[in-house]
Amino acid sequence: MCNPDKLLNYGVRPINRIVGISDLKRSAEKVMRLDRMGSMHQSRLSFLRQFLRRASNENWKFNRDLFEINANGVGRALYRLSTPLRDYTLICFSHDLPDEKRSDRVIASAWDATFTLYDGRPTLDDLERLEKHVPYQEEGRLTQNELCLSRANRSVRLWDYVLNCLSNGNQPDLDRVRDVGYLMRTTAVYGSGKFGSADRRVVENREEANSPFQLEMMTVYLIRTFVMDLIEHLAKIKNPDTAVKLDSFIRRSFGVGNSTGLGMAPFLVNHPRLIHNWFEAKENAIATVKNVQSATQAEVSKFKELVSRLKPHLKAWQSEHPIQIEKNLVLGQDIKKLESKLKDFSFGIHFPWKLLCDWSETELSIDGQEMLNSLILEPYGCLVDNFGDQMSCDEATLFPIDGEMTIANVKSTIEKYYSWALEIDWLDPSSDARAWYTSEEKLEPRLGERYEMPELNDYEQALQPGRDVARAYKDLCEPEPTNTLANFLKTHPEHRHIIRRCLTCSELPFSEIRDNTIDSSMLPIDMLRAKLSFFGACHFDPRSDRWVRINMFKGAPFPDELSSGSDPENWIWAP
Amino acid sequence: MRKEIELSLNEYETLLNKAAVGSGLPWGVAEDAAACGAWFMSFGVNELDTWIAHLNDNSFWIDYCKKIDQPNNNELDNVFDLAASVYVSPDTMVKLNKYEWNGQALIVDGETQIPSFRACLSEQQFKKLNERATNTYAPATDESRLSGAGAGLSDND
Repeated sequence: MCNPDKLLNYGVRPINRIVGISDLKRSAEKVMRLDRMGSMHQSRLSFLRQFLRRASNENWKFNRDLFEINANGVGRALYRLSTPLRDYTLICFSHDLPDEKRSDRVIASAWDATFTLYDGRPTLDDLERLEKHVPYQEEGRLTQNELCLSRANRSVRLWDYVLNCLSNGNQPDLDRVRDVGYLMRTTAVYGSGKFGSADRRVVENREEANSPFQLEMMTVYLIRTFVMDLIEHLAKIKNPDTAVKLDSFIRRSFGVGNSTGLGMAPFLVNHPRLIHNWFEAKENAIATVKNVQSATQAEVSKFKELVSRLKPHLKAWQSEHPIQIEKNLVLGQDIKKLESKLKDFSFGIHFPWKLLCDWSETELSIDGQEMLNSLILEPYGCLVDNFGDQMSCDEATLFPIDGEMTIANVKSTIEKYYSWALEIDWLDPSSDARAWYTSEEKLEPRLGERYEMPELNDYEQALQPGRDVARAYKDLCEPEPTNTLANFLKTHPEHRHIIRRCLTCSELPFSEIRDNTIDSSMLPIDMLRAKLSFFGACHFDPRSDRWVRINMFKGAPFPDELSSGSDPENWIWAP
Repeated sequence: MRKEIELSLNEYETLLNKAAVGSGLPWGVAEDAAACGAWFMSFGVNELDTWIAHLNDNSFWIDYCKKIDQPNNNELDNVFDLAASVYVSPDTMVKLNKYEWNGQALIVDGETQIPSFRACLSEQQFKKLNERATNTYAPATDESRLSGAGAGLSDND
């Protein structure tokens, strides 16, 4: 087995050995369950929060370098963010999309707007080159100068309404704006070398790009600004005499929507070392705040002020999906219980945050508990924000397999860390009812019913660690316990992937979802929400058990507001 | 070789992995085979024709993996064993034919290679990899499009 020092070479930091909080830290057995992962909320450590914090702290400059859009909404625009060391430019291509071609599905082939994040300041030649590729998204090719690729569609519910309001000189109704929350929603934000763009390793040593998904957050943030400019521009063209700009308060109520499908779910399984760092950092942050012996008046006030935002936030959290409707009902009750608890809760006692969290374990739903865990971090940026620096991971090197390990050692490792998988009855058809596969159509990940489509067995992806570890364990029971793992893997190469995974995950408790990812009752939206909460998304709105709409940056200051000193933190839990 | 297709290194390794799985290699073995191919490419060395030729021989890559898992008796039998040696013992200098690893960089015919995160391959090589990778994709069907992806409620509102 690998020793902890060696793990450092594989992007894993032994931060779980922080003195003083280990007793307060929740176990992976508790946290890494799908029902809890599917109830998580954004926090100070979420990636868009980290992005805004850095942009504000480093006083990044913002410029709109180009805006050439005609009356039909067709044209291009450039938005530049300048860090102390370098420039990044969002290149926007705006299109005139017929209504019938608008679809959020990954199988769509045209969009209202398409984007790429350029590393530096593009030349006119770059723009001409990219105009031949970016509008075609997956069909186009990028170069190492491009960092992200994205596209967005207008909200049918809100776009024309807001356009008409503004062109007629009126402001849109705030409640209506809040209920939808965005004018455009992205349907993909690709990075890390996809479609020829720059490999993650090109940018990972830049401070502003080291934390996960920072350039993707930058892309979405600049898209939000472009969308606001676009609708005001089109309103002005539509009716130059009467058109008005959006009121700055209402303007802030627009985030960027996002539709996320199954593609995000395999990511959580395929990046165990990275995922460990995300969850471990958050759990360390929660434990650190629980370890605060006494809270100051300012910290308590900050917390209570945020609690007062929860009801309006929940009111604007619209969903038609029965699961989410029920969850929001329960969350509403949890908010009332929390408010009631706070009326007579004495923050003067020792370890108040721990006591409050202990109370939530018995009184609130899992969703409510996770909401509280996110909330208690807010007054303690000075204690927890640095954990954000520990959420990235170099996954470029394959985790080594120690072939000299004995079969007995491998078995005991599995028994210790995968007992949950060994306890599942894999002969029960409901235990392996689903199969993850990749469709030849845009290479989209999908989830099928194995017993209705047996041909899927030929295409099954390695996304069911529970079943695969149980299969490997069964075969490990055959050879002599003193045999080496290397010999076992030579005769059983089919188990190499899962054995490597077991050895990796046994060192990294938060790397593995402790649930069956192919069970008949598994909800992929739980996996999506876990990942999206780390992005900083809110207002999760499942559209089926397999895709979800969310909002990002709703309530956040725009780049020009950030440059003029707006608080990068105090906008969260916006309605 | 004429530069015809350029991929990011990450994209290239993913394609190698799929091509290996699509050729019948078990997942875990395919991962090591892909990492090996990508390592060469990271130094601008295209050993892809040889790499693809070995996809028809599962035992070749299974033996390669065993050399990684139990590195004590390593002998460099073929060009890919160089990658295995560097993976297991990056500080150890090794030589094989025109290749030399000096503990830090790859030297080919006496010339130190500059690492990069791009992959350049011929159209023919790209086609061969994709043909094999395609074996891992399920054919598109209406049922898959609807239930497999979970179409659900309206996606245009």
